[in-house]
Amino acid sequence: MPIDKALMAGSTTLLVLSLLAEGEKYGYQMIAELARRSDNTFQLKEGTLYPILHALEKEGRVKSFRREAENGRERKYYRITPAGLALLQDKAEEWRLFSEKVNAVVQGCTPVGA
Amino acid sequence: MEWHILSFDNWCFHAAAHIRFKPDRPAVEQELREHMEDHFNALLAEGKTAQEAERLTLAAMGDADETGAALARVHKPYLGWLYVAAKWVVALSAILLFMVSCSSGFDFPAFGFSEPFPMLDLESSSSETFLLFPQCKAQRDGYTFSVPLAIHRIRKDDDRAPYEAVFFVLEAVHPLPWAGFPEGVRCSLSAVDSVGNLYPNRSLKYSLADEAYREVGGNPRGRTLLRYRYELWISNLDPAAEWVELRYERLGCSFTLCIDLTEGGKRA
Repeated sequence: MPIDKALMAGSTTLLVLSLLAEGEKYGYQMIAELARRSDNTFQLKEGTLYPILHALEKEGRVKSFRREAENGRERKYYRITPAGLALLQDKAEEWRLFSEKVNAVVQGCTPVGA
Repeated sequence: MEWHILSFDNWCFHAAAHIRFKPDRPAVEQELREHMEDHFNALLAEGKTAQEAERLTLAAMGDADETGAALARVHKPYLGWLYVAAKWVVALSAILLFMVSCSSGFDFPAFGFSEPFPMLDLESSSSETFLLFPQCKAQRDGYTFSVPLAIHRIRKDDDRAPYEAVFFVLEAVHPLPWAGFPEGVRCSLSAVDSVGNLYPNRSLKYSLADEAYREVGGNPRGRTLLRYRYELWISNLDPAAEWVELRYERLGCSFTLCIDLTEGGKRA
């Protein structure tokens, strides 16, 4: 089932920071990893990844640098910074609380006529 | 055939065109193009045809205008221009400051000079002290050498033999701040006095303990941007000497500087 775009948009920063917390990655690598781990459920428009990365870089949450990738070509890699790790911690906590409360409401409701 | 490149370039160009700070555009275009190439190659590796791979890559990227608008919100022009302007201001100020310092001889006390010869007690009752300000100057390898200050010291202990020495500041000035200390000055400086006594360099002597030896010794003491200073001494000066001449000789280069010992009033 396709995920609502608005839901995706609200959690892309968390997803991107989570991927970078495991190690430095370049753009396509992040997209491919995201698709693989979510069984292709998370398929954000790939172009939208870059404004997120650039904004995070401007805020000092990630740092970019150019390096040769495993395919021999030079790519722009991103690495999470200590400030990025702090943001990831906040976002993860926010997401845990949000999903817990949404579940509490959704699971406590029985549709009329069911 | 690399026919897909045109459509990828087109997508990247349209997305980057939204960024109003133009110097940022090439890097953004390059990053987006590299992403598309990676996706395209991954699809080819999965067995897709080039046409199919191109179509899927472009579809996966989404709308170029939407991406471009989001990028433009991050790459704000005023921040970019402010950064460029700040870099130019810093660079131009540095050049201007350097040119002014070179042309006017103005110096920056980057490290500063401390009081020379702090171990000398100028008020000591057992010694006579004469402050000398020699006007001598010499040139070598672009450096201008001078002795801005010399201290003529005569010990007059009742129970010890009279002893004379000259402590002096040797200053080298070079118009280029990266020139560094002149080579070999400390080890190549000797002296001769008006009586004809020789004062060899301390580094050439075998014994440093015997104060009966006449010698020239000392150390570098500090620098500013253009000036380099040594604090040196000539020990066991002949009491009959009226002047002492410093001699630098190294690798065929030489210069001399004369310190007039009568200037302080001792023998005037």
